[in-house]
Amino acid sequence: MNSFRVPRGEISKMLWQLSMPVVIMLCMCHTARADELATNEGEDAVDISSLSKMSLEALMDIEITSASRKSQRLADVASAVFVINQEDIRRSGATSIPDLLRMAPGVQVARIDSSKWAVSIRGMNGRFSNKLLVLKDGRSIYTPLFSGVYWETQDTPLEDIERIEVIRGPGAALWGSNAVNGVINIITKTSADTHGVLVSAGGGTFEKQFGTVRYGSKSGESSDFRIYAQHSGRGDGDDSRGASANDSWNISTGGFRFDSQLTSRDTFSLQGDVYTSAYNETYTLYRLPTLSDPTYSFVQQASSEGNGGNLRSRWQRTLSYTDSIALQLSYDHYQRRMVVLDEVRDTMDLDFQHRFALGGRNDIIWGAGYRYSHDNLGVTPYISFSEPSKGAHLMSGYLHDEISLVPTKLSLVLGARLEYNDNPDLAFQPNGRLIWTPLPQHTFWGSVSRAIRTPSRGDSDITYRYRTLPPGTLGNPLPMQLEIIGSSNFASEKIIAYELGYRTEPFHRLTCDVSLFYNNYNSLRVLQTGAPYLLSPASLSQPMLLSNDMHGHTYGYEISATAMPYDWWKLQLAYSYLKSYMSLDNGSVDETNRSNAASGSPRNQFSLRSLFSLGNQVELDFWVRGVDRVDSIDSVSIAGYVTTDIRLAWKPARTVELSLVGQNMMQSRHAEYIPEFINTTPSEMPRSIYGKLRLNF
Amino acid sequence: MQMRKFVLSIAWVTLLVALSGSGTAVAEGGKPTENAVKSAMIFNMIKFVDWPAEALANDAGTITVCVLGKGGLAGALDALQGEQLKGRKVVVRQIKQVADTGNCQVLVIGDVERRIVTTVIEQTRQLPLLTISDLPNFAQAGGVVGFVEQSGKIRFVINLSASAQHKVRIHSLLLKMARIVQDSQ
Repeated sequence: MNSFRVPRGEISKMLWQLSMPVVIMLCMCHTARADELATNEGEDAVDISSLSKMSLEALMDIEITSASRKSQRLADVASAVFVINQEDIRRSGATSIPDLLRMAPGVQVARIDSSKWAVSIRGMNGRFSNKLLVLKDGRSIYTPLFSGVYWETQDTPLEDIERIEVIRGPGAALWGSNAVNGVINIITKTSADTHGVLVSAGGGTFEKQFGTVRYGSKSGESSDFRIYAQHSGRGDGDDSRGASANDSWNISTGGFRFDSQLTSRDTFSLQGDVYTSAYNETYTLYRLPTLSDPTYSFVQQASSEGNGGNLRSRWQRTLSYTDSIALQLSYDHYQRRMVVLDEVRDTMDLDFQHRFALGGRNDIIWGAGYRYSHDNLGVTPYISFSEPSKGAHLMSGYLHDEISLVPTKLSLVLGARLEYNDNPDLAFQPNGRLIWTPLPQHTFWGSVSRAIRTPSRGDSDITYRYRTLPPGTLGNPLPMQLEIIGSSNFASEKIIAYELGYRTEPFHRLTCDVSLFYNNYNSLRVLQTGAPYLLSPASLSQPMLLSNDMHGHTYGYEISATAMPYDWWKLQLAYSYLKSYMSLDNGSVDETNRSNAASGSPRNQFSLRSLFSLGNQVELDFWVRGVDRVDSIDSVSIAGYVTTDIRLAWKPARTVELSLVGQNMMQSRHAEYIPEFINTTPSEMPRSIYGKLRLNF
Repeated sequence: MQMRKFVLSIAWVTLLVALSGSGTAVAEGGKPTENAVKSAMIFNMIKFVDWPAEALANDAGTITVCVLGKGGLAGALDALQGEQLKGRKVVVRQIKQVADTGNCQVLVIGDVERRIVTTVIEQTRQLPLLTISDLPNFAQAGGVVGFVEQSGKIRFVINLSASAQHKVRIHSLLLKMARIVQDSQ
């Protein structure tokens, strides 16, 4: 961790800050061992004689701690998985999904301004990062426009999320395209888990005001449902001098979920959401000078809008404990109005999956999917598309077999996905994994996989007039407009990834996870300088053509550990290291995009959370995060930072929770990132505080 | 800067208080573990279940709880050993394979591989057994009682078609507390 690069005067402070996690880690292992001795002597036995005397009704009312269960299941997985569960969500104090992801190892999260995030796994971060597959209840939520996610519109009530699975490394064979660097799987609670009324509301300095109302109940003998509505108004970030950056925004969301056990074998669920949102943004836009206005650029304050909705239905039949089939149909509609772009998109997705056991040793999953996405893209002076309206088909099939070589000890996973879309590529994405569990507490795994990032609509069809240069800047005799131009020949970006991992539960309440990776990339997207031409008698155009002319590799490791030295104290540490090398091919001189890919993500990151359950229903939670310097994002570097969130909560009654959360407490404000590609003004994250009341009855 | 010092001081003090021993910071009264609660629930459930006479004929005087698989739910059941239920003594026995279920009235399945669960469900279908597990979808897949976690509490699902096949009769009091699944005919 001492490779954090900070100004010299900061080093002693940094050491002081860093000493805390180290001390806590040491204590963690020490206390976990001491505790193990105590629990081994029959923690369950002590409880049980008194518990057995209780009635079933009373037993059903006991709240239990399930610290190790989920991690036990993880022991069977041959990839680097980190799970954020509801307890983690509630106690993080975070108010958005991307902010929650900061606790996961290997994930880069940076807030660009109040409403924009850059999120990636294992590098290549950016607002328009495109190597991540994000699923919500099995429905892919990346937009084919740029293969990324509009995080600001993912406004699921955090109370409704059961868990978020963060899978580092390619997951394409099982999950689908775009799972190049990782998969994020957001799983909401089934409606049987959300009976009753939930009201949660609060406000503060940056999280201006927010509120959620939810009602859930049984519907007949074997069905359940919930409905919810939510609104949040988010405040302004700070500009670099501490004044308001004027980037506040708000979003209102409503939705429902219905789950039914049709027969003992069949379950059905239907869920949907609608949202409407508005964002304040500041753009710097470029144009050709005219006689009446000889300037080259201007700043425009704008309000952007995003509205949309989705519907998902899923039917699952359990044929036996190892055999099941599932069919899922989903539809998504959204529209965005921005100064630079108007987008309306409709997406339909059909997915079929069959899982079964073959012989005594094979656990097979196979499936097929079809997706159709249709868009309508409005022309602005800045961005236009060669076809303003277009539909795209994507068909895929996959097969995944887990073969038990030595029962309970050694398994081999072989899988592949074949994908066909309107682009000429027939994408073959195979992977092989080996998982070895010599002892129940120790799991080793390794994998080799190939994945691709399919060309987005932007890659193939965009024209983006992103800059105008005054005469003489590059030796140009006339004003020159720079244009990014998409190419129908743009091919898929490719990765081959090698991974190794080790997971252990050395003591009852301590789990550790280490993973190493080496990623080899090919055909990455950069710009090639085209031949300038005369746009008008008084101006030139310089086309910059999107091309697959970069290759490179990244490597690194992640460590995570969770300890529960006492029932009332949980600690969680995540540390990530990343190094990236990129080289341009075929004469490209696009140093900006090369260094974005190579240096746009921090090399070191850590997150340390300490959760205390004090007496009298009081919780005190700390979250310290450190992020290394970002060397170059669009040629700007961002200083590293260490900051802390604190949450204090009190439950005066079973149905009531009051909490007070301080975020980014260590400095009055800090910058995290700047936007690449679209020139909006970034803002810095201010120190902030909010209070929240939650009623659940 | 002041703020940072303040925050860090609080963090340190809390940490030191916490480390100085559980006596200082009041623990939450030690929530019982999930498996302990499930074991106690199994113990209580047995009171609401009747087996056919021939199932109890062989070794009168005991109710045998057989445990397949180690880890998970399996570990906490030993505590039931020797308890009295319905005038019988509870015997908890670890078994290695389905063929060993001979004298069992209750079969608890702990952490085992998925394919083993299928085999167990298929091979014990005609036996007078109360099968119980907390593996996901156990009751839906043909087990009699499956545990599920709901908002931090333990609930159970009972498959009536499965209990009929196993010829175990479950009292309506227990059914009322459960979520029921049944094959539609």
